[in-house]
Amino acid sequence: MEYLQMLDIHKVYESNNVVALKGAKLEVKRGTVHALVGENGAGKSTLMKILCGLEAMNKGKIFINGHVVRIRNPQDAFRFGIGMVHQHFSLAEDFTAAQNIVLGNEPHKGPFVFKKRILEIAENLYLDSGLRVPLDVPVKALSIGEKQKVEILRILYRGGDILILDEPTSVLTEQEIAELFENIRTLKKKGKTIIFITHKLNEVMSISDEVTVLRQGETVFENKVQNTTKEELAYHMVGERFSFHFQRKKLQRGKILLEVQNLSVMDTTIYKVKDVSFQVHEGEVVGLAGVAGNGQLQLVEAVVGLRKASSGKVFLCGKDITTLTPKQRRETGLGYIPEDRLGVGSSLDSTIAENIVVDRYHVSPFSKWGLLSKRTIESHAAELISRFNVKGKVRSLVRFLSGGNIQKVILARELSADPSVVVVCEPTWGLDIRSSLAVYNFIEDLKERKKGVFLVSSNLDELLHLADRILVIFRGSIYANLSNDGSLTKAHICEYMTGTRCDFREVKSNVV
Amino acid sequence: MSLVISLLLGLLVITLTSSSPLEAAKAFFLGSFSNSYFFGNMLASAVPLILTGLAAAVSFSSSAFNLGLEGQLYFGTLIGTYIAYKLGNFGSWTIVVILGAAFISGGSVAAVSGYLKSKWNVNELISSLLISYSLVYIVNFFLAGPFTDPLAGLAASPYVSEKLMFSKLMLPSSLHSGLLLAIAVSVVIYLIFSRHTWGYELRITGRSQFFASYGGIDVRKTWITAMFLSGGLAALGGMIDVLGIHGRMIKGFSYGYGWNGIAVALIARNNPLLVIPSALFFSYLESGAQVGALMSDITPEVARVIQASVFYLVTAEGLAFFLKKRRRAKTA
Repeated sequence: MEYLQMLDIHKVYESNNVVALKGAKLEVKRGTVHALVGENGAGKSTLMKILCGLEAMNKGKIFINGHVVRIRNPQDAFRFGIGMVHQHFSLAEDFTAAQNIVLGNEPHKGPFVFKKRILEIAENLYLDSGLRVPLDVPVKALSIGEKQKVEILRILYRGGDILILDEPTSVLTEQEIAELFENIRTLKKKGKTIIFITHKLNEVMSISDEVTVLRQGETVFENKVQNTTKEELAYHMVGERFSFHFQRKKLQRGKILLEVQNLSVMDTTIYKVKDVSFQVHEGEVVGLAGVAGNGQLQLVEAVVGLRKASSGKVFLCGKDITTLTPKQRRETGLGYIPEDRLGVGSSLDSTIAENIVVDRYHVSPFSKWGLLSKRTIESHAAELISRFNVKGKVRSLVRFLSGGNIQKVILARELSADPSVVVVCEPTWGLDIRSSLAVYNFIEDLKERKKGVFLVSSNLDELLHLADRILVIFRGSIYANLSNDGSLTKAHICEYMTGTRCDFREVKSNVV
Repeated sequence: MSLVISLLLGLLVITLTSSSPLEAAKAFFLGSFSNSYFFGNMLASAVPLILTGLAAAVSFSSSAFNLGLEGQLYFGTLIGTYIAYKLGNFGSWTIVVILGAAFISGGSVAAVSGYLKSKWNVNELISSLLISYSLVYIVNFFLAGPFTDPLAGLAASPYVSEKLMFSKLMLPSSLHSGLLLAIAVSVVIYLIFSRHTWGYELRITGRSQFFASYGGIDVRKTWITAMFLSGGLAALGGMIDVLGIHGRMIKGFSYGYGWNGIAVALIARNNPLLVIPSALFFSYLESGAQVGALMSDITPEVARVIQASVFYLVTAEGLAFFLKKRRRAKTA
């Protein structure tokens, strides 16, 4: 007997006619951990939002314990014991963990809240569930893993029976993931049902009992985890035999394209970047490794012109671009794929076409005498959409695209401008395997066309895959310039990243 | 929806305050259409609102919030009226000079706030509001002193040449050809928004300034230009009102034009073409109250109550729309 059944679920977003779900199906047994997997944009999140009452479906039926239920809003969902932990938490940062747990359903008499009862309730839940969180500390002081637990406890307090976790591990460290899995097992023992959204297959194999695979809005595979393999799941996710096969080519590097000389960047009174020099040659990918927040963003923004350098020079194709505007730098041949895809790299409330022409709307043939040629712009966008394989239409708002497709729109714009050097930041963050491989191939292609790439990434595997040379930044200074000749290891790079090793003596003395 | 609710609310207020509610309601809702005098006056009073509505829409679309429309309009109109008075009539180009002078002076005042925002990140909301407040008093000083008409019984400038006035369209009402000019300006602004590269810059900057500057758009220049255009349009509204109806600048003649313009733009969701019906709706309420006061026992305050409720409901609707968008952005 299935506990929860979602049958033949259809969903079309009216605003842009994107079909998110076409006949998806999900069947979950009581007291199991059920993995819901699929690529970016497969419809996982949409299906779960329907279950939680955050989105309305166009067609379909939901059964709980064999009875048809109608879920019109999150309150309805709660009545059936369904609660969801989103990727972005919604906690009151200044309230304590205990207060957050009871928020909205405080124990009260008239307008008065029982402070002591709140802590009692939270403690009972805490003991009962095995989720260890400091209860009387403001939430803002908690780690991300702890905040996630507060969200789970909140659902338990409201009598949640079915817990939906939306890509819960994407924000956690290795250790926190282990702890989360331990918690999930405890909850399962207590009889809770858990739906676990992910696209990481290792996690599916290690934590879940059953698995459902969605692809392009349809359910394509359901089975017990013990009866399937990672390879089989990967096949169903992608819809074809697919292996992550990527081999970097070694090319003869050419002349210098981008040269940064003794660049320093100040943020109010502190040096965020100090005396950094490096070069990027034709046909070369130079990587920048470092623990997040060691000046990578400031360095990149100074190079692309979004931030003022306090001293030093930047040359592009032999031309001094240090004082040029972002527009002039683009015209000189600089492309930029920013880390913040949604806030900087795209305008969510604009169409794909409007996003693509942001660097070229003012030149012919996209406008003449200051008048935009809508037809040229849209046909140009349509061409790029098909060339870069974006799933969306010319007039779709970027807001409604999946992360991978938004990244493709940005790539389409930056690469079609035919830049000499592209600065690329965290290009595959949050993308599934297939989109990541597409991004890797675009970068490799740039290299083969004798362009230069400056790649900033916190993912060392990515750097080892793509970069010919890896620079390591620590507290705003370059600590190493390593050739990626095959013998380079992650451990070796980490030593520089944490500042325990430094190849440049003058840099070290600078910092101390 | 909110328009219907607020009209019902108006009906309720009338029923509560009037001794003969049926007649009063009829006067209020239908009075403006009962003869060409009332109807023409209603259209005439929409003219300045169309222009201040456009002014607000332009600045809001760029995410620079111009709250100084009142002062910009008042100041620009003073300069324009002064030039009109001094020039007299030298043929049809004079009117272009007058409107241009008003536009440039109103726009320059607003551009100062745009410049402060771009240069030192001074909040344009506050700077435009404060500059506007002080300008109103400065202009009042001129109307009561150096540029006053000693024969007038009130603080007002001398009359400008009769020949400069817009032609009347529907006598005996005060409807004048400025209405056509206002509609033409709306269309031009709409075309700039949707077809011109500057309109693209404005829209993109308004939606995300970080994306705009990343893409190479000069965000600061866009803000300054948007503020200039905004202040200029507001001043144009005042000047057309003077040349269309009053023939001279009277102290306080434009009271509320700026603020109502903001409401007009909010109802129109910053769409330059929708500004026209939105402004007409506002003047319909206003004239309904005036007609109602003449023909029955309701007071002009009723119109204010209805206007206020429209304003609240529409902004609440706008807010709900905004929150929904944000929520979607968060969960996406």
